[in-house]
Amino acid sequence: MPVQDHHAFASIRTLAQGLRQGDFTSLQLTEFFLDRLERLGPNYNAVATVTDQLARQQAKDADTELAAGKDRGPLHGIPFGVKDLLATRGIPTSWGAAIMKDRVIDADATVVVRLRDAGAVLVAKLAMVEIAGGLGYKQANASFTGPGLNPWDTRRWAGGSSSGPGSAVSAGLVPFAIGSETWGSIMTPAGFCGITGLRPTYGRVSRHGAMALSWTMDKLGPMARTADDCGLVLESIAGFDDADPTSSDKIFQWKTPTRFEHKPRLAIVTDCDKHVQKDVRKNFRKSLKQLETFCQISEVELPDLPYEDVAGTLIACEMAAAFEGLVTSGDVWQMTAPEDRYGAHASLMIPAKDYINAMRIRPKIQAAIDRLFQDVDALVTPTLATVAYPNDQSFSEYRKGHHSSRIGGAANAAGIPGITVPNGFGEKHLPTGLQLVGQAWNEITLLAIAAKYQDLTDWHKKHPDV
Amino acid sequence: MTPIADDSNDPLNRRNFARSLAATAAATAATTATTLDTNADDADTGKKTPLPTNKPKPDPEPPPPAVLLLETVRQLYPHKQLDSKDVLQGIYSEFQSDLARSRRLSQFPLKNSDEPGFLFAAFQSPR
Repeated sequence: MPVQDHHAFASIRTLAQGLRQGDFTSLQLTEFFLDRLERLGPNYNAVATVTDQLARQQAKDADTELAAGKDRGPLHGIPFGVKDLLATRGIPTSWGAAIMKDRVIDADATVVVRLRDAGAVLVAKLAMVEIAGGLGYKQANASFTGPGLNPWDTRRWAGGSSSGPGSAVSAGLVPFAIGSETWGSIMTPAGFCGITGLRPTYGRVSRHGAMALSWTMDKLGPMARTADDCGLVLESIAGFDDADPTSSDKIFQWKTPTRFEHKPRLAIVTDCDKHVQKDVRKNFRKSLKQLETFCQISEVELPDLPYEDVAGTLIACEMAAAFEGLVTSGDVWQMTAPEDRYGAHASLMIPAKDYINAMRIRPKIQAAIDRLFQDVDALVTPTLATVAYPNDQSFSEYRKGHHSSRIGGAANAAGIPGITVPNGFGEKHLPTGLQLVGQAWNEITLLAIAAKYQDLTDWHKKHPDV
Repeated sequence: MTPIADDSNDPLNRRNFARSLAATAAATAATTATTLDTNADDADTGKKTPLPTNKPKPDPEPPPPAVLLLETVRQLYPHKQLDSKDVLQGIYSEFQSDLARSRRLSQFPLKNSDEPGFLFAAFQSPR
């Protein structure tokens, strides 16, 4: 059986099985996704660069090795894309900014190297919000590639800042992608585009070769069709890296199906669905019913701590230090979104004592959030308060009156993992998401619960008509 | 990064904004001038500056911190785009947000022993 249209939305394991059964070769699979990227990518402004030459060579190598019996594991021969903030030797790395669209960094990010070592095939550098959104964009048109368009409805935003990974996976242009999150940049596009996204624990994945927006908050993670796919990818990219002193040597191994030693204990974050759209709440409540079939569910209140102020101060100050050069050179005035042209100026004036005080409060946030996990395995909330925003409205205009739980700021300030899985459709038949947040280094529990949820539902199998 | 909902911005009325900016220049200049005059008298003559016979003028109202910060940005990172009212308005709003956040952080009860979350260690190269 050659590569067929339905393979565009197949899981990694399905594609891996097809390769090993001889249904198709890695080169055929790669050509299939290259064609989709070239043909459909522009419909969503999803792609920064198609890496066709490299991809064909990597695919041929994979076919040769698999034919010779050298099997590097489940990602061997599987095409993928990376957010265009990861350095790739000989290929432009734009960080989403017009002034850098032809810039080549002569090195490969550690994640790119690890996926190459796993035999995966890099087919595209994927679009993103300029400077990963650190300059304060307030609307969808904030990248040299244009606004990230949602494959479920191109009048809606794909989410950011990992817009390309979100839309490319959703539209079946790549089986999986690597995104990054400083605060929301994996969870938001994954939620808006109806895919599964995993934000690993800070330090789980080396940041070497990734654009630094905030050295103490940036995380790289997989965006894919299923929790199982995310587990497979995380296993390949996790681990210590000499080039990133914040990376950890803690082992991560993913096996499925996971057997729970006890019924997983979930806690709903109090009031997390109080200020969300009606359909978001309805889908969340339905999801809880499904989770109740294999989990114990309680409720927990987040401690009242200044999560957003701490996370916001850390990101603003680290961004200002990292990108002052854009301001002094005047290059910042060439950003796409008007608000990104002056967004860094105010951050340059934040006093050092604010940054240090935010860093002094941060351990208290970490300890307080960690205590929540003494009695529960994961917190559960809707991923986002609304469905994807319209492209022709400012974010604040559309989401007026809606806000999600404070867990996003808390979890990112604390550096703990989270996962989002699709859980239904809301306004205008746009996807909604279910979020699980776990204790530091406990991605395995989140993935196992999410995988079990996906065994019981088929929301992750729905895809847009592209 | 995904923008978060932020309702703390208090959009500055354009007229007030222009007024504040003008007041900054005037107030800064007036304050500086007063200080210089007084110091010059003392330094030059060594005598105490005589008290003015008429009623002293009240000190000019100090400009808001966000306006002072805005002027500092214009000085430190000069660019013609910073002459645009829309740009200045945008940066001013950011300052207002940042100052409000700063006040909230300062109100958080911290003890002297509360150390920052990053670790520093003395370094010795391997022998």
